[in-house]
Amino acid sequence: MTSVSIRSRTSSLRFKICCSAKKETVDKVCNIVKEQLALPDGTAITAESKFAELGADSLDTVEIVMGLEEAFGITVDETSAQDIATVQDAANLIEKLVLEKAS
Amino acid sequence: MYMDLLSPSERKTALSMNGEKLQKGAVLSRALVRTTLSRYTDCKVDPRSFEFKKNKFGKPEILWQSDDSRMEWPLHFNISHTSSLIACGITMDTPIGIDIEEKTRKPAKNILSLARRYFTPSEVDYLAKIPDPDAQHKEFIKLWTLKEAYVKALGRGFSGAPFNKFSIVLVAKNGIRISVAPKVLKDSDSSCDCLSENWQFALAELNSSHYMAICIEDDLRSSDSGNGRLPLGLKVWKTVPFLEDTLVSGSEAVTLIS
Repeated sequence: MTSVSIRSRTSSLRFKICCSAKKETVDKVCNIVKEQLALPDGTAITAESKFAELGADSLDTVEIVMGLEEAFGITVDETSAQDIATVQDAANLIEKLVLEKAS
Repeated sequence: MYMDLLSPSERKTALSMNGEKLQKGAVLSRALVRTTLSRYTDCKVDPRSFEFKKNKFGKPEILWQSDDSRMEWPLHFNISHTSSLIACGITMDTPIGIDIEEKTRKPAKNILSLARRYFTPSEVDYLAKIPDPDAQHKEFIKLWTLKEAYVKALGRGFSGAPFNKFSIVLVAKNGIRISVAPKVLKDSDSSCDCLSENWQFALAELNSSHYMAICIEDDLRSSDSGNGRLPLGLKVWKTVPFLEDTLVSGSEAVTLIS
């Protein structure tokens, strides 16, 4: 009779996982965006919300970026800013920059 | 009615906008582009038939299908929106960028903070020297629209032409110049290699409510031509697709600043 043994082993991660930002970061971003765009009360902003769909134009976008820089103590360069399409993207970038700054 | 002109993907995009006003704005914007382009083909191309693509930096362009029976027109276009106005600029043979902004648009951030963060030092100095806050605010909006128009004309995205790498200089009596910061030798950022200065600008006030900036590539032949009433051969129409079309350039609805 053969016996089967199963062992669990923690695998070594050979790749870096880009974690999703913490909820509090996402919430903070949502608040800054809501304020900048003066969205009516009850407008649902979530992590998935796209800036373009919220009606943010280029001046709104730079003000939002500036607001995020001030709130989190970071600097966002134009190339990174251009890749931000959703609130989640912004939150992820913020946490990445905060980590980089701390290290 | 306008919805019928749009492609399925344009409809989807329009309907994904947040709220009815933004949705209507998106539909109207596409209707405006399609109907206007059609008219510039002498209506030989139906508004519905236009197809669009984005260049590798995301700038929308016309996609002409390779089809022997259809001509291609060397049309370029660019769009800009505010909550109360949509502008569509069309040119033949030359890239165009257009930007409009409400004169009274009040940035939430302090003007000079915005300028220090995004503009060049010489532009910050220019703004800082303006004592009256309203006048300073207006000049900021003018500079903003001109810089936006340039970036959009260039078609390389915001990061392809960072605002702090080129200065717009408003010269007294009808001059707008662009001056690109000289490349710093240590700067290995090649995205700014293609910032060029051979661009013409026009700045106008529309209906006393909006500033409009237009940027097109400098055609050396036309800059020698006599002083027309409007620079760049610019004509402006007030349009409601299918319903209204009024030439307003030359009237008090359009006041040239440049």
